[in-house]
Amino acid sequence: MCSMENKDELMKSLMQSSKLKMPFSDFASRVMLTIEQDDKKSIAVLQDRKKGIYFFLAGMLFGVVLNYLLSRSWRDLNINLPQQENALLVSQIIYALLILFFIDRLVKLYQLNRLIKNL
Amino acid sequence: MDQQYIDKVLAGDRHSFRYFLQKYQDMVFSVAMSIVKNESLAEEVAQDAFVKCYHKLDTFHQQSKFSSWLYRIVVNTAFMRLRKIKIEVLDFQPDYNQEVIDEHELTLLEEEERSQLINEALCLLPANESLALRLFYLEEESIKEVSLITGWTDANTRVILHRGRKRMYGILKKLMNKANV
Repeated sequence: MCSMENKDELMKSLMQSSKLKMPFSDFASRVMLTIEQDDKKSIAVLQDRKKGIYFFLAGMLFGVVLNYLLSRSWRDLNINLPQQENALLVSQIIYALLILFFIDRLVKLYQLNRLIKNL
Repeated sequence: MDQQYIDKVLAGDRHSFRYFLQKYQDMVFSVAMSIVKNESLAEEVAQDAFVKCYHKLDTFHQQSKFSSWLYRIVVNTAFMRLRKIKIEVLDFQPDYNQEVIDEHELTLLEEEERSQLINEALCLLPANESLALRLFYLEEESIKEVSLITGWTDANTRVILHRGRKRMYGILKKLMNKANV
């Protein structure tokens, strides 16, 4: 037991000589620079996210108005009813697909911010 | 003291993070070196670990010492890096049961020479053993803290420390014999 403790003391004193110094003098500055760049990226992503939401809402509103105007103009053009309904259906499907596509883009933008934080 | 600077960083004072860099960079580098055994890789690991530490500082809830929390990030980053580049650290297998270290001979060595010899020996140890020895003897962490940092059980930590000690003496003996020839 005593010998084990002595050996432990020896190991302790030996390990004191194993202290390593960071050999790169500019290490702290480089880490701070990386952190600064990450913070800037994070702010830029936040701004993009805000803009993305505004444009998404504006696009949704524009789509509703466009669909309404299209249906009215087709009515004025005296096209028969089944054709009018088909055209309206196509424009609404395109509108729904665009909404889904932009929701996907927005989700990815949200995930990007988390990704930058986890880098 | 650490908590004061954590609060400052969390309040938006990015430059206060320099305090952690200055205080822990050497030990973080030593821990990374224990695992990756290569200076430039260890520097990359240390840099990644500090950046992660900065971004995740809000998740540190004082359940452990700040240093233990930071070393855990370093250990995870280093092992992840090893897996990524698929480095196989060679396992040195000395016949350590027959080795008896000459303490007198070691004390005769100049400090710089001794430091070089010990670091060379640590480089030849498996990553988990050199890591355990550095944390336990150099950083003077308790078995519980070493377990917390590495994710091993207490019993496993004890076994690794025991093996590491024996293997370290064996390697030191061989290196000293080689130097004397």
